[in-house]
Amino acid sequence: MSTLPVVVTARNASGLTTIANAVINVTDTTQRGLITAFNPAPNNWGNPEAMVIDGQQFFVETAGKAWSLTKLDDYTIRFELRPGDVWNEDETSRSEILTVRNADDNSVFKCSYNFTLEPGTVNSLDWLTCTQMHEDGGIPFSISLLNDQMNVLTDQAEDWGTQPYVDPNPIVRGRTYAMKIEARFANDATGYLKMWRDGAQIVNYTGRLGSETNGQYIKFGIYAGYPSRVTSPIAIRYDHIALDFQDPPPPPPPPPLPPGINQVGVTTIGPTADDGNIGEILGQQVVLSTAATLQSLSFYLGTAAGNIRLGLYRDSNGLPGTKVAEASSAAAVAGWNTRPVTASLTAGTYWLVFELSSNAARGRLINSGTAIYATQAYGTLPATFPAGTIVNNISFSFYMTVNV
Amino acid sequence: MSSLAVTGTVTNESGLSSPFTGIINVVDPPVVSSVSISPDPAVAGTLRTITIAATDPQGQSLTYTCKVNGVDATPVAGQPGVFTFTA
Repeated sequence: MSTLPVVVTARNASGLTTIANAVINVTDTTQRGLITAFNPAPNNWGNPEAMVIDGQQFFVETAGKAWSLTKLDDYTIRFELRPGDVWNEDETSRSEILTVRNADDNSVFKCSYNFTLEPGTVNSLDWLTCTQMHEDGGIPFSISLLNDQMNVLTDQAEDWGTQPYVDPNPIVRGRTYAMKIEARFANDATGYLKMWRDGAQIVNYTGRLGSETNGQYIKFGIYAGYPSRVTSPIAIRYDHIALDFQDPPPPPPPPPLPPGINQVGVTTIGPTADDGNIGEILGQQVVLSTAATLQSLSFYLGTAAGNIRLGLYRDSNGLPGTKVAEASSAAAVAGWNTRPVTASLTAGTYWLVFELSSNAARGRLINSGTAIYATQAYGTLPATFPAGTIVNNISFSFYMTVNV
Repeated sequence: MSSLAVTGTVTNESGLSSPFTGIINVVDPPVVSSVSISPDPAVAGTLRTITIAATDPQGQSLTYTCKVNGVDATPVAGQPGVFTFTA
């Protein structure tokens, strides 16, 4: 860390002057948190590329007002919540962004940002969240402001939850605080949460963190809950948001397939139903360990409606690329929808792809694997898979049958 | 402002004298109680806010300057004693 000298003077009307000195501490020479895309429109589920900070895509959940989410400079965003502001998807009062990418269970997640609560009425709500790490099954940790005092909670809705930090004093409005977070999400003693504010460690928690349900995403902004609780404007600035997700170790290569008929993909019936996929093309990654001949594609529907179309795409740098094969459209049936299709396949990574013509058709999900969805009208599968959104830890009951 | 008492006499050639008293007012300099920088520490290129907290013993109004590494910081309009600087 380097320092820069600061010299200030205060001079009165009599001409007398006092000089004082200070230093500016510069932690490193690399700035993080550059905002490379900024579109504050909420509910950008289909285009999170419209909001990119520090190279990470974000979804937006706000009331969509002019003041809800603004960009102050290339590194600073500002959230404001006024009385009556509600996010239309759940009618709660919030101005937030959340990462598309999840921090994987049993991985280390690091984050830093600067945080400024703007001058205004002291918050007397019984809870007001300004940073949350979310997962499907809970909230591994959150930072909230109660009477303007900073609180940190772990797994607040669970019986193993803790409150590792309560600031005895309110934070100073208008002052910028440098926050740094490091967390490991695990069901056992290997979990931990460390947090620093202005360089001083305020949280050093070790133990279970999260419920290992589906990875964790972080939310920044203001979440106040029911609209009636917001009686005065609240504004918070975040700058230099830096996010470091730890890539999971690559899975071991699957063993070679034995000669004969093999099924590759998810052959079990997942516990979770999924619907509402009309107007989308969806896929999931599979690895074929041995060259083989494709014979059919099978997709499970718990509830059948409309038509179904199945296909196979070759992988291109972790995303579905060009189409390899496509089965003709057919009426969906409850149970396994097996559609014959042939193609010669080399060993490698592929994407099983499907479209459904009805929102009422319900596939089944398991919590593992890598999936993708993109906007696409029901019809012949495109020669190249369109730009889409990756979803980790999700796969449908969907497999291909090959002959080795 | 502090003051000093002055006492004395004035005498003429006839030896007549009269006492006098007076006060010397001493104007004290401003007192700078703190210089806060926020955010600090921070990565290079961060916009910092430098806030000078100062008072004048006489209650006079104050004017401020601020230099970072010899370069003038930018005063924030309407907020005496508050400057910004990117460092």
